[in-house]
Amino acid sequence: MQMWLQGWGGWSGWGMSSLLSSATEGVASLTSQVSQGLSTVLEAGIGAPDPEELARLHREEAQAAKETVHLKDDDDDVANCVAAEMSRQEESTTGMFGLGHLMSGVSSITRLVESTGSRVITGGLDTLETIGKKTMEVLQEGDPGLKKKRALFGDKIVLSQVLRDAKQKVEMEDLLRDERQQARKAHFETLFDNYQGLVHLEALEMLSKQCELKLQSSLLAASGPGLVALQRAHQELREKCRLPEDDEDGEDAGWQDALTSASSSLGVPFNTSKIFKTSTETADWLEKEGRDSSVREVHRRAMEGLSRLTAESVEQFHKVAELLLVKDGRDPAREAQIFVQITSALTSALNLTAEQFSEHLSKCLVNPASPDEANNLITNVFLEEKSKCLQAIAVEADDMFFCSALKANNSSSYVEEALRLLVPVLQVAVNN
Amino acid sequence: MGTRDDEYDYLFKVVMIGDSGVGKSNLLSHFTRNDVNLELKSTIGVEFATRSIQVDGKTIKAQIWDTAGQERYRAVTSAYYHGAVGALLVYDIAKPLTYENVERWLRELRDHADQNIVIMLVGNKSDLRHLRTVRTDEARALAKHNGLSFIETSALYSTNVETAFQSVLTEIYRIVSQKESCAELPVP
Repeated sequence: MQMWLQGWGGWSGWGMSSLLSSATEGVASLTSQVSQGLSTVLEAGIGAPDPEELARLHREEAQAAKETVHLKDDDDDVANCVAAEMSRQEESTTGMFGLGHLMSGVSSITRLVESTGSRVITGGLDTLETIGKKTMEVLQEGDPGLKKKRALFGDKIVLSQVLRDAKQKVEMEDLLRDERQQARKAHFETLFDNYQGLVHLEALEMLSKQCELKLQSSLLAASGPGLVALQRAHQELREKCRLPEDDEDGEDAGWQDALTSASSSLGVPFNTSKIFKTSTETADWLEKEGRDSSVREVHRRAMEGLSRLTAESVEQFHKVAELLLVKDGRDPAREAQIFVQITSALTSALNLTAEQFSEHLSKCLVNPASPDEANNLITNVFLEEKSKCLQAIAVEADDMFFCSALKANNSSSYVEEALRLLVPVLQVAVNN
Repeated sequence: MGTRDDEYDYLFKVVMIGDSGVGKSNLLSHFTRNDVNLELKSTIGVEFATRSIQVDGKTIKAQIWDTAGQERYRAVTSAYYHGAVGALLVYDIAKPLTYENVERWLRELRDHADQNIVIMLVGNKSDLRHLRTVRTDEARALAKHNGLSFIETSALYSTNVETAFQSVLTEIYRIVSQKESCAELPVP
């Protein structure tokens, strides 16, 4: 026994890496040794086998066992569960300090214990009991509670810690995946496409191109003063469609009246009802439910409102272009003037919406009014890292704040693009 | 609005053409929203709807451009054919004029659409049996002569509506995936 204790003592001097490599490399030979050893023991039919021999055999076995014991106390399923658990964890931990190797080593030992165990049982429960008792004796000699032997693995590698780390890693991955999905839901272009803004813009582009071709052929057909007059008329229209450089502040609030009066004099129906409805619904939601909603939900609503308003604006530009192209007796100069007014009104609507949401989000940032979500995230994911999580949320909210301000620019640029596409649609009216 | 399907393997643009009042918009709303509106107003220019279907385990998103049939929009709608990989050319089995105009619509496609467009001739309102003026075998012969597939539908009783769209989309998919697999073959 003395000899064995010394042996244990000697182990603690080993470097972790050599333990790891011996654990992995040794598995194969250990497997055959242990099973051979056991079968020799069983075949010999000795009631009380040589204690030293037993101890040697079960030192390794116990090593695996003690890892498993403090995880689960049910005896029968332990090996199974742990082996399964470990091989599952293996995948996520491979590459981390070579722990994957240690684990695969451990789990094969466990599997080995399992299989030899069943042979042992067929050989006789008595023998097993003896083996178990003896093993515990050997292990506990001078070390009740196996404290030192547990310490053998050192602070660096504690299985429970490894498992906890792996669990945290998986949860982090889940969180990231969720966030990606959330981001998709709140992605401006995706929403804009869902509200059919993209396809209306594409159709408007096709009309615009068709008109441009017509313009080119009419220019080719013209000559002399006629050509000059035509070119001048086209140029004038293009200039009339230029938006004023800077809108005076404070005019945004009156956009609905401005849109109504401008669109009513266009000569073809410009349907404002969808646009008004969306803007009202969006503003109402923010007023009534914004305060009780999470930062993420507010952000999602902001994106939804902006993309929907943009899509509906582009849709109306497209519809009006179609109607104008089949209309007789057009006044392109007047149309240009009206479209500039309409574009300004719609840009105001988008700015106003973005401002309202940005204001709300920045309030959330200063004074986190959604402690519920923060707390949920904290308890679910970070457990002990509350401060870090709060920090992360603050950064995220800041991003969103920045994002929606940016998206207001983005959405008005879609409307401005629609206006640009309308220019040839107006210019072809000159030829008539 | 169509279904909100963000993820798909293929996006196919399909145009619906044919005379005014033959039921293009109703066929489409039946396919994409499963409803039929008898009071449907005349389409202005073009309207859109989308629906995704599964073929060979692939998700195909059909973006359908439902064009106005009215004569006055002809110049506008012809701008929209570009990029379409499929077309449903619809006529009314009870209105001979809408069938006679099929040739005109085919010319429109030839002039403005891509060469390899998959076209299906659709005789709609097959429920109006007592008013039928266009015989099925006659229309089938015309389709065959022009290399189109052919089907008769009833948007009202939802007869063959699903089949019409499905078979056009499947045919497009076969062509596209065949092209893809040819492109993947190593050069000998």
